[in-house]
Amino acid sequence: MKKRERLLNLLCLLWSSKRRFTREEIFRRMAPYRSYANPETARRTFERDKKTLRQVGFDIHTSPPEAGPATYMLAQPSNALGEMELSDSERMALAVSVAMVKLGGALSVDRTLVKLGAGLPGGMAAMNVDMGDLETEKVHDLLGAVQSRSHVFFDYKGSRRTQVEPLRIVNRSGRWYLQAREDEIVKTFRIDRLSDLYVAPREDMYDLAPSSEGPSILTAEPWEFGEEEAIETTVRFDAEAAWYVRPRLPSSAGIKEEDDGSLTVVTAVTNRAAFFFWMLDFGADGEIVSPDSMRQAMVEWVMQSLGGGPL
Amino acid sequence: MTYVQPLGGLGRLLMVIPWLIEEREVPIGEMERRFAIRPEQLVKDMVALNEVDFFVSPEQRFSVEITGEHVKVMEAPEFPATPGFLPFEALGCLVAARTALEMNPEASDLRSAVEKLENATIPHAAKTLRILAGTATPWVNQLQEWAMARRVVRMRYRSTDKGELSDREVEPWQVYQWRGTWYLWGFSRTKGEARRYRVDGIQRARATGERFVVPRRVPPPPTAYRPAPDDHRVVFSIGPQARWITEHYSMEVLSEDQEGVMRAEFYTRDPRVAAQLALRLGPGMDILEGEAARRELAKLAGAVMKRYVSDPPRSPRANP
Repeated sequence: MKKRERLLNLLCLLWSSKRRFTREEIFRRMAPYRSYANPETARRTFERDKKTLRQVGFDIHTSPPEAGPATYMLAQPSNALGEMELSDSERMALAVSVAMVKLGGALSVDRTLVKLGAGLPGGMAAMNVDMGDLETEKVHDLLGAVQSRSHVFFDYKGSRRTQVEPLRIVNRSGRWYLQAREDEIVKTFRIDRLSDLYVAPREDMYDLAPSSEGPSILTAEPWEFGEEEAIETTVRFDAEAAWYVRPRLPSSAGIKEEDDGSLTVVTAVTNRAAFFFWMLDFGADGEIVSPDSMRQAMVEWVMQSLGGGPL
Repeated sequence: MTYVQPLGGLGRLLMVIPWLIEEREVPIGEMERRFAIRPEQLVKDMVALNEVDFFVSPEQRFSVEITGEHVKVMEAPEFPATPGFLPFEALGCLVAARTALEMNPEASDLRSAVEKLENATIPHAAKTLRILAGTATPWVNQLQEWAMARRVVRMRYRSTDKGELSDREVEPWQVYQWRGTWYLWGFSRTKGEARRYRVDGIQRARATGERFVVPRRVPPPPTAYRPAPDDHRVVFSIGPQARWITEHYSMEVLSEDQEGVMRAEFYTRDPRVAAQLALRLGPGMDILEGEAARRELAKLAGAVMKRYVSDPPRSPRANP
């Protein structure tokens, strides 16, 4: 008996009867499961079959554990796609996006494209955007928590975080973040580092609008949301380098193009290490103009990179 | 998602059957396109369907014929409709669409599709899910057009490691964004090998008018550095404050002491890459092994120091 035949029969059985079946009933109706000498092998095969069908999108409902022996039923397939009433051009726009954006192993592109009725593109797409690994289960649960304003609990950097109020999910530069309020402070957590997530069942109507939110990893450059005292720093980039520097400048900085083609940039620095890391990516094409304390700090930084102390 | 594999045999059949039952008669070309299925495979699939024994309901059978340019369902068992979006598929589709929209906010079809998708699957996602992918720059869009049109491109490029400008002739295969940075992936005629280029390092570019043929198997763009046999090996000491760098660069952590100081091995074609990394991380990183990288570090540091002090140091101090 081929797996194909077994799965098609399982689907037909569940669908045509429109009722719940226990595993034993299914096994009675389907000889392939009974043909295994070892009942454990039959059970494992059945579990794998359910998983395969679910992966394709057939929604096999399992009864809750408290309701006695598990029963299974095939739900009416969701028709969310049909209800959307997408025009052909909207459907194509979605399909192009799905083919272009990479989300790790989370999404089966081929199945999604087939469901969108868009077919499968051949070869390599001319554009591709890697948005990092969309950890669908965590992101989905967190989005649900934001929408129901439910507190979440999770492990993060070695400690258990409790009563956290999730505010939004953000992807920046291919990394997934949870922005949430903990002890009245808005914090940002990397979702890939968050584990043992628990969403509290009750709904709390906490305020979703994050009050007194300062610069964060989601809205500012790394040197703008440190904990050091803010130093307004002016930097100049040579005219010859302006063409490649300009696209890399943060939108939050004040930028002035001088008459000689050089660029003057003013930015608030609250994390000097992050600032020097960024600044030295331009090598000697840029220079801190003021204040003197930042010039001196840069000199010390460079000296320390040579394995020595300050001048 | 760049490399879309045709649906596997069973997965394909499970998608094909409900759709075929619903449509009853479909052009072969439509099936080939929709499921990326070759004609000979299509015939095999249809033969397989005709042979399925629906033993749970013996009065039902599947009978399908290929007539001329069409596939026609003659008899079909009771079968569930085409599966809809699963929750994670809806989420993935929404994220992909929002990302594309972020890059091209003028795409009206995509905008209305996103609104419909949100309303149907994840209400209020506009407020609770933010995608900061950045708008595609003009060069990105232009390079994508040339890649699609298979146009050879001549460009003036500033190398990331040397910081030197040079002219390159490239067959562009793909423009891609990784960790927030745009790259061009293609075949460098100048170097005679596949190369990636940072898009923001392209000073100017133009299509030469010549068309190129894309190889049958285009290698995927690299997201990690692949060492070559003649690469420079550098060993870094990385302090706890700079350990994040090991997640962003291809380096192997060799050991870590009780204070959290790591020793990490790094391979590079050009020792200036290692030197610049050490310069940027300042006290957070030391070069433990790699004489060439040390020499480059001294040169780089000297060039920077010239802008700040009148008598910059000439050589690096010994590492501890």
